[in-house]
Amino acid sequence: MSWEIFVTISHIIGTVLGVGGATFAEIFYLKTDKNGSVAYTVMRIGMIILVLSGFGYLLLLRFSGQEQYIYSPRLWAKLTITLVILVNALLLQIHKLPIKVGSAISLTSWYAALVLGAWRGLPVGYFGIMAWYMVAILAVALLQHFIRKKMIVKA
Amino acid sequence: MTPLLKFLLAAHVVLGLLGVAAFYAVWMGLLRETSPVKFLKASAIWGVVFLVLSWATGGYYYATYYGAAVRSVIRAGQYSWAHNVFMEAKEHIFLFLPFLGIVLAVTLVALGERIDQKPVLKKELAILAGVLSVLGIFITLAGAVISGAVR
Amino acid sequence: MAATIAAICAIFFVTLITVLADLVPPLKDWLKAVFTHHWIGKGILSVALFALLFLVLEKTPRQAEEGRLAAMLRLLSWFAVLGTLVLFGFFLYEAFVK
Repeated sequence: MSWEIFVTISHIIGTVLGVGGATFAEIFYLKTDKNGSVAYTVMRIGMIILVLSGFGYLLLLRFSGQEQYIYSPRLWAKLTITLVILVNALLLQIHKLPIKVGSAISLTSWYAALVLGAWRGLPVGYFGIMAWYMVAILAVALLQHFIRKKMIVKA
Repeated sequence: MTPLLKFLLAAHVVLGLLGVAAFYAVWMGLLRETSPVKFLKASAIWGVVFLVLSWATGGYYYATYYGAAVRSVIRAGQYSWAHNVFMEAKEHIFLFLPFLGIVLAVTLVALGERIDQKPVLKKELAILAGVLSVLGIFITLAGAVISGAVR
Repeated sequence: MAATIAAICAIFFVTLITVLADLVPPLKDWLKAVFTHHWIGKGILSVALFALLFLVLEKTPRQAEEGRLAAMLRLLSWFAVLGTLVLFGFFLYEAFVK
């Protein structure tokens, strides 16, 4: 197995755990299920694997003489979104952010990072990506609001 | 770049990331009302170990290879600021981290289970862990900026 | 407490010697001559300073008062932040203004 394949597999595992964890954290939160804490642990493990394998990718680019891709807007957007996930977690921890807002940011961020990772040749610059990202957060927040309302009505 | 230098650079990055992650975990743990003391002590100690190892591996790479083979390439290219600003800043700010980490580890070990009964100290340790984490993240991103300029 | 004070001094030292070594070339040359590389010299000297201060202060009998320790930890955080800003600002200045 080459280092490229090892890093790719690791990155996919990290994505699965992170995005999956974020998705189930959202589901458990909506259903006020006590198993929510397990989802957060899975998310954290996913994040660690993602960050390590993500920088593994950068190292492979460096070693193979493809350093120009390190300055790709898509990559720096992903790094920014990863930072947002970490800051978001912190603000939720110290109760400085309402859970509804934090939940929308977390879910959108994980999926945004996944989409950016998969979308080779995305013809948008860094600021364009960040603008769409913020629009996506608003859209997800609205969607969550309607889902919660519907669930309350159903109950 | 020889296989040894590639290994050292990779080890420097991975160990540095593990060190920053360990202190981010300490930061998050100290922000909780009831801190997981055993976990915090272990995380802080391992964080120091990772940072020192990152220092050693990166330092060898830097002192024996970077100056001659990488710096000149960056300075001759269109991203000379990547070395002149980011590398120069990074290589010196990095020296702060092990000392910050040692203070956190020593204090957490000394306080032990009493940490939750000492909210003032706990808050200051949380701030310190936060400072270390943020500096670590800045240094990590600076490393990416520098690597991307080698062309 | 000893580790905190030693760390404050080490960080101050690193910041000071880094700026001075760039402004005073003979200092950088001296570091290179003694330690083979200026950065290695800064690292070794800062570790030596930290270790020496830690050992001396640890032996000095003092009342480890919580309030004082908290204040020193806050000071350490400030030194780390200010040291970072000084170094980053200094190299920005050297690269673009000087």
